[in-house]
Amino acid sequence: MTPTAQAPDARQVRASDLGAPLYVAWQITNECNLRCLHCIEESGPQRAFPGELDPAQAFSILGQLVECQVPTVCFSGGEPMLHPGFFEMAMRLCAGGVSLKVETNGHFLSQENCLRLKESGVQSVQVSLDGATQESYSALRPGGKLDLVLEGLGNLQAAGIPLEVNFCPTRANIAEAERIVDMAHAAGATGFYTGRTMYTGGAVRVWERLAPSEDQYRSFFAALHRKAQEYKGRMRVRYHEMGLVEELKYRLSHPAALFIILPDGRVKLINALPFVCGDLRTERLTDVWAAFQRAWKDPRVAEFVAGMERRPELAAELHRWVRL
Amino acid sequence: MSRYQRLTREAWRSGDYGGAELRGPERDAGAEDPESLRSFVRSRMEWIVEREACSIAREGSSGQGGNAMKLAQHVKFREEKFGGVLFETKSERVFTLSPTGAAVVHELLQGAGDADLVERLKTRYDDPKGTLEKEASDFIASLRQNGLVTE
Repeated sequence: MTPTAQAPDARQVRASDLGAPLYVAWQITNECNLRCLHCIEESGPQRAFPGELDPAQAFSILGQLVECQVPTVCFSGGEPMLHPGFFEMAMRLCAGGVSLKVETNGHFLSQENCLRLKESGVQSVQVSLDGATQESYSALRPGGKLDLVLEGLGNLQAAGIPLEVNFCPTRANIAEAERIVDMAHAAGATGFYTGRTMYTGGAVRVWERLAPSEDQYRSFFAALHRKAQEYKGRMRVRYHEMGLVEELKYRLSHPAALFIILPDGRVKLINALPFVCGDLRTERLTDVWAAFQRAWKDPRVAEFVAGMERRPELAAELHRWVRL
Repeated sequence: MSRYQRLTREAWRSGDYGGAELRGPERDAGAEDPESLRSFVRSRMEWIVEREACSIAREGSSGQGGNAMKLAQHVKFREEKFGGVLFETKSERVFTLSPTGAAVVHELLQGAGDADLVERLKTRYDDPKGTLEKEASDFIASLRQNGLVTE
């Protein structure tokens, strides 16, 4: 009967033991102002899904997330701040006690929008910062404006919203990693996150000119290790050295307690796989959660992951959804 | 001194919180309508009484049971079949709780303080070895140590 609190790594909590996810990543739209080369969702201008959720459907899901006491939800996209109901949805979740994180490319962080984010109760904003110069930044994000992003980081700081920075390494920017960690800290970031660029989504088409070499990765991770020490206690510097297939193989036996809601309400097991386990337009969140747990045990999932090891190009098929 | 301050001072002296008209030289000070001023003061008094009543209730609930605790700012609690989870949303650390661990957190959230927590737990759990108090105390210390609860 002894009361205990154990703190395993979040990834070790067995999803099957839980009544609902601990984390939901919700791609609220596939529309984006940018068309980034590496985008796993292949988002871009005019790339909103034809059947994206209407307000009644979206608010029904929001209500269920609150009811199930999902601790954390992350709005992503596409560019989530382009969604016409973005602020109303954010307010609904935060008012319901859910911790909301927003992942954005940082192009819409005006002073006014940052104040609205603050008023909504958003816990943190994660901004992609993929270059220390306009040249390297726009090499990955054509049409993107680094100055605008940096101005947005200042607006976030002025509004008192915790900032996290995400960095996607490529041949064009990997040498700038240390400088970008410093830029993130100077902008007031509480966390800096990165890892290997995934061979999936849009990255597959331009892999040869995008992917850093193993030598570059070795230097990169060594630099990050130094930076993690340097900023210890001031800013979390986290990086995943695991490759995509290794990560997926691990997930087969240790599914994370999170799922992905697509812009049209369908639910995916994980970003890098094409498998769909439910549809929140027609099914309850608790039922989809039960289906999620069964789906990870479906032999087709393990076969697909094993196939990726032999044929990495399978990763390009993550948008050909398979309903389990 | 504003007319509002004079009225409240008068009310304090006289014990009349109904907003009686000012007497003597203060009667003519200011140009506000006396009735609206009385109404204004009355509303303020009611608000103060309500606020004080809430504070007393809060002090009472923690005062009887010792120091009241609450979850730290970014920590969420959810009960589960196996007990419960505490999720630290900033670091994304997850703490799984045994059934009794979840019961302790549940009682803390209900306003139980150090002193009455054990009594509340004893209504739910047998304590044949008389160890519940120490176990609960150790558990709360571990919650504090991990930054999961604050006073």
